[in-house]
Amino acid sequence: MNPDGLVELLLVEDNPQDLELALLALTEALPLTHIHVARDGREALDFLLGDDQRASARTHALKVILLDLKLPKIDGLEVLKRLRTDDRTKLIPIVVLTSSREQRDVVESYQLGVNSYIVKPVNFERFTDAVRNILSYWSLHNQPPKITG
Amino acid sequence: MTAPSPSESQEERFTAGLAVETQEIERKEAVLKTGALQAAILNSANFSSIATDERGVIQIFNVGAERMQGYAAADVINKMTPAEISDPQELIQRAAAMSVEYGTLITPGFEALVFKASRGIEDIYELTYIRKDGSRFPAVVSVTALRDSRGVIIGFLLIGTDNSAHRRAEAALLKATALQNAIFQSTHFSCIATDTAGVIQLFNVGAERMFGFSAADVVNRITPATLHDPEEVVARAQALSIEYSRPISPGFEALVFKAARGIEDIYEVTKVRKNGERFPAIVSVTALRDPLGVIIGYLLVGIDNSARKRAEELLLKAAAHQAEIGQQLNAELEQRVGERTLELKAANQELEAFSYSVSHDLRSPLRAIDGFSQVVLEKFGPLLPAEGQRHLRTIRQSAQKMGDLIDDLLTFARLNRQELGKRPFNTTDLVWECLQDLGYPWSDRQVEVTVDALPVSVGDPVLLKQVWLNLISNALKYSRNREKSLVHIGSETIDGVVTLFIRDNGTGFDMRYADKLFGVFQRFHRAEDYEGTGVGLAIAHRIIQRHGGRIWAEAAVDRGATFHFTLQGGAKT
Repeated sequence: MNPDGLVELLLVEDNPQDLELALLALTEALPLTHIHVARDGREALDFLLGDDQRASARTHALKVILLDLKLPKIDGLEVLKRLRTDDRTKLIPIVVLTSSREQRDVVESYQLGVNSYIVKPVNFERFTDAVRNILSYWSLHNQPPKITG
Repeated sequence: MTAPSPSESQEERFTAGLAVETQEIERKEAVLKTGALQAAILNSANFSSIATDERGVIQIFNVGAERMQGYAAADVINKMTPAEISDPQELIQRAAAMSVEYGTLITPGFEALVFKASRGIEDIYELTYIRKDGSRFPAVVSVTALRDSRGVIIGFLLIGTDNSAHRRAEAALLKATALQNAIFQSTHFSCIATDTAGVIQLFNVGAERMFGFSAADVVNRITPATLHDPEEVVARAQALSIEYSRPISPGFEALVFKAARGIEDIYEVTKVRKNGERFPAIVSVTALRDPLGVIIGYLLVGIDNSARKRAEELLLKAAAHQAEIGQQLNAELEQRVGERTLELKAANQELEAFSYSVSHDLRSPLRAIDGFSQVVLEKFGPLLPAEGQRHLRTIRQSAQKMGDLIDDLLTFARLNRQELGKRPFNTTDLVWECLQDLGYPWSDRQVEVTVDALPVSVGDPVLLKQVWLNLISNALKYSRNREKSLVHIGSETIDGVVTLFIRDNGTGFDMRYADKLFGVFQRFHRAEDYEGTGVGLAIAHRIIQRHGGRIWAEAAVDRGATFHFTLQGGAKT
């Protein structure tokens, strides 16, 4: 929880329409949310693992990371891998939110240590439902480990 | 000629026949001599002595005759003539021949036996006697006429010896000679006989031809070792020295060492002709032994092996050539297979990338279409006329439909690449699982489902579940307008093949279009009547096909449909 009492999360999404719909769905689902956005894998890693002090602080504040798989520059699976091999981020809950229902993507994501894998439904109501469930689950119900260091 | 008086004894007559008119002492000595001779002849078991009167009737038949002919003297004396114990066929021939020779008719009886002797001609001939038991033997017979002091013939004496042994020896000799001649005249085998020291004693025609030497060049001059490749002789001597752990000299000894020990020895060697030419040969070596078994020489029989060697080499070459071609073909084939595998892999990867991007990238815009339509409806709905709202909802429905189509097409496309994980599983359980997934028991409609006890299936349970899901949902879908839907799932054996079926009481279809049933995007009903993408049966068909089975349907319009399938071919064409 950040000083303003808002739930913080990071949304990694390159597609502007998907991003907008996701933001619509998220704010509708949980108005008291501060959503950080990264538009590709590079941005996401810089945001989380940057050298500056603030990166570490930001990372500590995150309740969950929503990660798309098909991303420019560094793709989602690679981002996932790096976050899971870095002590600073290896315990942060990460949910893959993607269009891909390919088995190999699902399997590899879990092998890399994802906490959940959600296929974006085409239907907007279902999409909104999914996002709402993710948020309430990870930010309200889930008890995360205390991240130190 | 006078007929013999039956009262006269044999001896009196014989004595009379041999009597000579000499002085008393001479006569006595003569009588003594004749007596001794007579006794010797009569008692000899090795000569048959048969004396007849002048007509041929047997008067004397000695021990030898008895032994040889098998008759007792009493059987024949005064009863038979020698003609009767001779081969009649031979008598006829003999009579005929002499009739021609002497220009007078000679009867084929006793006359034929004694005609010459009766004319004072010395007559020794071969004759076949017939024993009492009917068996025959060759005899050499000497015939002499017995005359009285005036020279008048009073009888004949036939002295015979058994010629069987001689005949046999002769035959054997003849054979041996013929064999020897054949061997030594043969031009295809070289026959070289040596003395114990190895000096050539005999060099046949074949050897002359093979080596280019004449017999005179080599007999008593050289040993066969000279005709061999010297290096091979050395090698052979070395090998034998090792085998028998004793020094064996690299000359003639090396060639006959084994044969001298009674070991059969046939070996391949290279021989050298007079002109230095070399040729491969196969040689058999035998020790020649005297009757006591002492070695008196060696016989080397050889055959030119060039033709066979050439054939062998040709065969080897041909085989090598073939192997080479085979290897080349194999290499080419392997390369081609490798190339094709790579191509296929590349094609597969392309397909995979394609379907991946279809699944990912095509869905995003659809989600945007649907999502923003919804946003418009939610945010600006009150500003829109009812018709505008309806159009937006149509846009949303279409987007969702396209999403379903994309999913089904991807599933269908993936079926060709997906590997089958075949195993036996409980079909009945799987069917019930599907029914439950599809919402059994339905609260909003009347459905009577009957599932028979189904046989175990062998196949990919994940894919076959897809088949059952598609077939069951079809049955439910097309029978939903009935007051009560009836779905029967069971199995039967058709032509020995287990067949599963699902029957409904739905709208059915026209069998005229049955061939289009399993095509992609083929629909029998209007989309507004029955929802669906038209891919479900195509997917089921492809899965069954990949299992090596068949699927078909029977139906009539408005009278329900039955879908049958097998997992192992067979049934209905």
